[in-house]
Amino acid sequence: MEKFMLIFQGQKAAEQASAEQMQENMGKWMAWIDKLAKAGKYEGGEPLLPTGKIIKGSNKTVTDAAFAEGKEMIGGYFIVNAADYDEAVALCEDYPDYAIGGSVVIRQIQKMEMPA
Amino acid sequence: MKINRCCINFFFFVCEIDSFETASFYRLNYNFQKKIALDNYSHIAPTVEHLFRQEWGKLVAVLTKLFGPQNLQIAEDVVQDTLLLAFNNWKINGLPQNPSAWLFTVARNKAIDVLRQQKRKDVFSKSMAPLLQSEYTLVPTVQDTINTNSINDDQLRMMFVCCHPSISAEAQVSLILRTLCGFSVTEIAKAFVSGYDTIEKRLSRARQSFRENNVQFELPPVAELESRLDNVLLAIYLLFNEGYNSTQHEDLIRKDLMNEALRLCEVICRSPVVDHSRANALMALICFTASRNDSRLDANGNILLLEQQDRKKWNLELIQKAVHHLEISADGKTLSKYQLEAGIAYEHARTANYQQTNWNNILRCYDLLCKFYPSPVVELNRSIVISKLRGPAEGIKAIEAIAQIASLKNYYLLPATLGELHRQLHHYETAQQYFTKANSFTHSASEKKLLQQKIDQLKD
Repeated sequence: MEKFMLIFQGQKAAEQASAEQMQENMGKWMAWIDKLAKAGKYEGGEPLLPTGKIIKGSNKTVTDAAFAEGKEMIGGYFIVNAADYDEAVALCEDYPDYAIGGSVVIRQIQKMEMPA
Repeated sequence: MKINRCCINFFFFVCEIDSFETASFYRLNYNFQKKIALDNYSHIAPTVEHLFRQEWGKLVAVLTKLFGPQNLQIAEDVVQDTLLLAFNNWKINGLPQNPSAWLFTVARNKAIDVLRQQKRKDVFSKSMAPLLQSEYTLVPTVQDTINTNSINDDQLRMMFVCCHPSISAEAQVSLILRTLCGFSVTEIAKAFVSGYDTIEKRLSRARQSFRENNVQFELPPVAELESRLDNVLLAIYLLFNEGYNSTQHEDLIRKDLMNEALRLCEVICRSPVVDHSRANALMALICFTASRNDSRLDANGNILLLEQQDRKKWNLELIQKAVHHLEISADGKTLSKYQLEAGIAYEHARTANYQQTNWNNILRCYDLLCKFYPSPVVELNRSIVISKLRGPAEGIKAIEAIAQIASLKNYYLLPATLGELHRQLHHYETAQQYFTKANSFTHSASEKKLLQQKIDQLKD
């Protein structure tokens, strides 16, 4: 079994959501996590705040990053278990936000194995 | 008006509701979604239905208390931000033990940020401004204000703010839906079968009116409390009617409107400061009416008249609740419109079938309504009761005697009723003319269908 990181991008539409829409969408997320957990696929996940810092250059310059802008905003991530990319893609079938401009980036986590 | 208590005692005869089987369970706001059981997610609590909407209403009330009604928009923005943050977190982490406490903490911190950014504290409410001037008192003041200690009272005050006399009746209902019920502008537009822009304009005009009229987050002075309560109850009554009567929108939003009216009316009933009689009578009327909700349409969406309804489908739980509130409402001092209307509903609720309806008791309620709260619609309904007791010809006579019948000239139920009474007298041609006229007055598809059926039956 391999581990994959699911990165959720561009959920800007949620900002205009009504209370009821938020609750409805939250219910879908919980149901999705429930399904993944029951199938033993869910390892964990965290939401991310829209603020952040970027440090770069030899001067280690720190700048504020406004992740709230644009489609690439990362709203959170999951770690899931899957045999391969095909299965990881299939696990994203129930991601609730496709219709409101959200997307999922899937990255396989590299194992720490000693080369033979 | 004073009235002897024995006058209304007939409402409380032997209650025959035992004869009903418990119908489908209409769960109101206490419905708990199925607990989401996650193997390693045991901290996820059951989600209360409409949790976000209800918390929205509470938060807007306390934040309006802090910022003042003139800054309603700021309060709404803080609440939207708070809920959004909660939503982003909870959807992945699950609900915290006490979602409400979590939200109030976040809202408190956001409110402090807003207050610190605003240098001119005089833009906030008069009573709060001095306390918000110095950092020394700002945080304790916010902590004192943004909590659930007096949430019932705060929501009640918010209702009085929304129903300020400077705001039109339809704007009052929209404002209640926005502030106390957490409906978005789009959702309100859907509820009123209206456009987004119309509702948005209505709301912003209301917010502006709070600024211009210097409306405070306070209960009206004692001298005005009674009449202002009428405004609030009327708005709730309209909210309920919008949900119950409109055949134009989908079932879901209709139920939401009815449930919200029930929830807000309950807030008023629980308040120790306002007149209990009228609020409880309205509560009874709403519960009686809502109890028939599942029986008034057939499987194809056709309207079923009282006579045709399957009374087993009437909701026993709501009927019991209604009877309870009607009993509390009988304080022996006042006889409100809501009480009389609930009394009529009670008569139907306690009767096992249409044939056994006690029309004499119902006529008595209508007589009192005509005496104390006269209106052409009430008189029209009374004429129907007369026709039940004394025959269709007497019913028609009663209709002809309606004082301001001209004001009903576009009301489809006037020709519809006349058509029905003439049908009973076998005046088929006249009946057909009336039904056709009624058909041209209504835009509701199910009402048109019902009238067409009546016309078709005449031809048989």
